[in-house]
Amino acid sequence: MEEKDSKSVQEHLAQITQGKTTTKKLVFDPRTQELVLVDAKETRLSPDAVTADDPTRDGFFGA
Amino acid sequence: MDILSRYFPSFHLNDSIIPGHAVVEGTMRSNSGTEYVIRLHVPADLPNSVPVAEIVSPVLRDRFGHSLVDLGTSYPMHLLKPENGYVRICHYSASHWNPNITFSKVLLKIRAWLEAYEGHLDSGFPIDHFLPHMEA
Repeated sequence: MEEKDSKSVQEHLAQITQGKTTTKKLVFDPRTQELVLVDAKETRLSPDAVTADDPTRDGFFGA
Repeated sequence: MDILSRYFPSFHLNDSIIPGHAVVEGTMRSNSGTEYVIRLHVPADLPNSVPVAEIVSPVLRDRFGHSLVDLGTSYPMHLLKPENGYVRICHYSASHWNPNITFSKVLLKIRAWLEAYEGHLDSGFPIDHFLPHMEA
């Protein structure tokens, strides 16, 4: 099941930041420009959807 | 620009005959529906240097009403020193940059930053509560 409300997406980002294992993965859907949470095992994604988890896990330069 | 137009179709190149003055600019919409104008400065030695990423509009404020520009460089908010009055996002450091990183990947990180920024506005937590720091 997809989740795309801001609070769920933000909670997912916080879980990644804290190094927690998640049952969802965050993908970017270029058709809607939304970040969407889907089941981590979900394979039926939009052909253009890309994971946003990996760039997030890479981290951000901290000034 | 092909990959960029596939993932971020509103973004376009404003070219310049002066090296280092070209920009890629477009609009991103967060999941809440807020629109942000983003500008990437194309380095003169592309793809060997990190493109500067700015939020052109709206004027960003923190949860407490302070302009993010006035915060200056901010480790917890993943901000570089602003220039020309625009917030600059820390995305890749020069030491983590490589020529295979695309503008689309940079924009994907900016897209996540926007969601984290709105999380900060809602919760008061700094942005690094939502987005980790790169390992040294």
